[in-house]
Amino acid sequence: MGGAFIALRAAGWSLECVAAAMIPAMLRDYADNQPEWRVFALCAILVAFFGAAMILATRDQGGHGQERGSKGSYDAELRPVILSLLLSVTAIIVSASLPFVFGLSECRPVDAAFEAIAQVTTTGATIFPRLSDLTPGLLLWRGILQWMGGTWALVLGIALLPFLEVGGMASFRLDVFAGLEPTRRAKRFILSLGGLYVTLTLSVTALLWAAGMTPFDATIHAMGIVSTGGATTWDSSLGHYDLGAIQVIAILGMILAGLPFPLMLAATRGNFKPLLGDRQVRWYLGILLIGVVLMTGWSMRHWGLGLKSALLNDGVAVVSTVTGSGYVTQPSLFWSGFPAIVLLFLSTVGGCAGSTTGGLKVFRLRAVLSEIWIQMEALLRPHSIRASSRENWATYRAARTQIMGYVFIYTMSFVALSWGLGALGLDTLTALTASVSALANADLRLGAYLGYSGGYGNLPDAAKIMLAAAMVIGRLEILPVLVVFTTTFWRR
Amino acid sequence: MIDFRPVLFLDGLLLVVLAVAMAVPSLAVPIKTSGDGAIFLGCAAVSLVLGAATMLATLPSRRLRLSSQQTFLMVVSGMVLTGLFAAFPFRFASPHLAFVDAWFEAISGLTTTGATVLKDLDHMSPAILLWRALLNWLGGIGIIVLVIVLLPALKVGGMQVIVDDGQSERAGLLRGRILADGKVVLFGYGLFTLLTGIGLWLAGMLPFDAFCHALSAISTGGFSTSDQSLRHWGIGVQWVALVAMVVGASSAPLLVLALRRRSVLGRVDEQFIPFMATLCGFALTMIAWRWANGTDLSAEMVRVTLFTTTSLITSTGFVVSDYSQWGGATHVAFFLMAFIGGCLGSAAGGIKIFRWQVLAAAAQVHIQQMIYPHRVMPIDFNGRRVTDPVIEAVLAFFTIYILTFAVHAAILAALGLDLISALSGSAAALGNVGRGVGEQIGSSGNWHAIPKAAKWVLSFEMILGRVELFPVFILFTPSFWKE
Repeated sequence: MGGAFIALRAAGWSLECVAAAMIPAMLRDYADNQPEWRVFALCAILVAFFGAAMILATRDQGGHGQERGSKGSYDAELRPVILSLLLSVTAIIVSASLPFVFGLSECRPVDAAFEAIAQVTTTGATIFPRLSDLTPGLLLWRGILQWMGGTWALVLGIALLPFLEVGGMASFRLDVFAGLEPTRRAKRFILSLGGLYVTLTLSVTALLWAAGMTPFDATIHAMGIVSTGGATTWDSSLGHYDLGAIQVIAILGMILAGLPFPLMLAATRGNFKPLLGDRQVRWYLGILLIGVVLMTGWSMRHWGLGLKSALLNDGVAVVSTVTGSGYVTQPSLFWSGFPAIVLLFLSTVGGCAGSTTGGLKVFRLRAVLSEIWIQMEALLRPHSIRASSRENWATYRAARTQIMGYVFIYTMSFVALSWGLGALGLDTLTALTASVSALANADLRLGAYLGYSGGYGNLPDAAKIMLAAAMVIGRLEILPVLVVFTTTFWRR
Repeated sequence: MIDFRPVLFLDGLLLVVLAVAMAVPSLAVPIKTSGDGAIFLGCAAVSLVLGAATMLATLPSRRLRLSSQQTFLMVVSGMVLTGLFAAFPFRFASPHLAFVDAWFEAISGLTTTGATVLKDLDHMSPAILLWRALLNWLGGIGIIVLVIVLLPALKVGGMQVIVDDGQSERAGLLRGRILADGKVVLFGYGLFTLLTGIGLWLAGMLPFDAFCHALSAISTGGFSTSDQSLRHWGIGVQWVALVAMVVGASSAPLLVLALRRRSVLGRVDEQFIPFMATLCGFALTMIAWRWANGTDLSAEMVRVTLFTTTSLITSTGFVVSDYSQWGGATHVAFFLMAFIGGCLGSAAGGIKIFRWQVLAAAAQVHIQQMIYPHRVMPIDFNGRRVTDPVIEAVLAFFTIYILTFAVHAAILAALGLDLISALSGSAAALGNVGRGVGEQIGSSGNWHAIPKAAKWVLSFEMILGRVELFPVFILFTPSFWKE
């Protein structure tokens, strides 16, 4: 059972990460003389202990198991990878929710798990009706969870999902990760990616600070922006600050966070061509532009806003919806009709593959549209043979089929979820909004329940469980979870 | 340059057929008591003359053959032209609707959607009522011919599974097949209509109402002769209508065809059981949900829920109860039902059962191939292999369907509909259902009150859904107009 050992080991390391992440939150509360720091300290020790136990228990076997999975043999590799993924996710969620349960907030386990999952998947939804009631440490903890969640999203999107060929992601395989064996090149690549992520966060922090936030607020908002989680310290989110530099920085930061990180890495080395020439990136920027134009036009006409405030309000709304961050500058309670539909659809699209965003991802939308185009041409000229510049037409077709299949599975997940929520008695708008935003890891706030901060707290427990599950499934791009429920997966 | 003559010739033919149908309602009213009879005859004469003139002017010198461009053009232009002429009686006869309303009503009839803008149907002139039902019925025939003869040959949305591959490959689409198959299908369609009419009459309807409802039930159109829809009549009528809707949305007309050409039979039936399972599954879930939420489990509740579910899944749109009062999960379900649709080869709209089968199978293949990437997993449908182009076409159809729905919902919302009405209206028009959830388009609603511009958008969407999207979109590609 090499698979189980690798899985336990991976989960153990994930626990160590969570424990380490608790330390800043603990220090913050200690500095503030909040008794909450003891909770963080205890949780950190507990989590670190269990993590260490899991790593030590599998110490001898871990390497052994890895060797057994011979290179290129998917049967041997897939199961441990997926099991590690799921076990780590579970371990992270359980450990991350501990401070919410034992802390001053005294959440019930369901609420705490929901809160932890929402942060770790960078969804950013919250059950707390008033963020101002939380200790600074807990606010920081939410930010750190999102920020860590962002790194996991990057690892998933850049290394794991392409490896698993989830929904056409195979085309994003990087040479660096040729096998599962961590080569020196792969390690260097991951380190520089991490460097980019940290640099981005630090620059956003510095800019926000310069624009007038306190350093503490700046740090948390920067974490929320770069991870597209949407961590904030105010119930009114970015609406707490006057319209101006802060919103502009947030918009730019979120746009950057929705770009493919490997291409951004190349750009930081002076090679801008891959980033600017990438079709996905162009489409992403185009979608953002269309969204902003539509929404700005609408709010200038129907709400009589001036150009500047309309641009800033709707810029924040559109960019944070596409990237799934969930920042708002105005109460979205009253959004209905056209803005609501536009935001619902934008949120489904999501950002680029290889970023921290969720959703269907821009490359899939592009592939689907161009596939429709190709098929229409084929309808007109059934016997024509397309001269393709692509090296391998068969692989390309296979990827297209996978992508469309993924769109179907995604839609069905949404349908099942929204129907389930409807069955629990939620109104139609809330059911649709909550399903869209949970699957896309966005924090969209429309409808009677979700229209204000902390609205998730009023949902029935069953709805919270369903939504939390959907967030995890959405973050893992559905298939790695679905595959576990097939008999083939468990067959030896 | 595309040769428009064959296209115009067939459009003319359609107009002549429409003119003949238009003469029928004038028989329903005594000419003395109202002017409607004369107006119907007048409209019929106009479209007869125009149609015949077009036919004569474009009379083909050789045997009629259509290229794929011409066929697509014919499908769309035929829809628009017949809709235009079919709208005349609504404009000039007793309802005196505004042009947009008349057009909406006509298109809604021809696409078997069944969304109405007319009020006070109970006191409407019988000629108008009959005309609406006839539009449903003609639209139903039109779509069946389209679906089993034209679209498969054009390979739209994976439709090619419905015919033998050998035949669809052959050029000259209209030769022979349209006549031979068309006649048989027409016979089956007529037979089922007649049986339904007799059934409704025996169940207590007046012969006129029975006839009208038979026309709109078998075609899954859903135009009624009362504002109350089928609430107006008794339990027996509702059960007969329920069976008729199921027959109309199953591939029953194809089965008649199959009686003659054994080859097709094998390829129709595999949809029927999943179709019935979907229907019953939804109905049972709804019944269970309503029961769990405080509605007493009575025979009436079961019947009403079953009827509503059937009516929406078969894309008919008859109502027997004010379902907008049911709340919660039923709302979401009623919205979703608009997407399901009936069997391929019926007059029902929506995505259709066959496509759902292929989609589910393709999804399963995708999941399995994560574990064994090189595994070959063929998908079979009625004992025949579903080829890759079919799977790709079905997947593309699904995505374009969802995108079309989304874009139109956004447009409708921009035109002033509230969010739920916009979403549900878009789904109900695209799926040719004609009913949804929300104030204006729910169980008791009437599409009269929605903004004018939205009516244009909705009627466009009905046409899109009816001709399976691709024939319309393809007109917007530059290469369509290139040689």
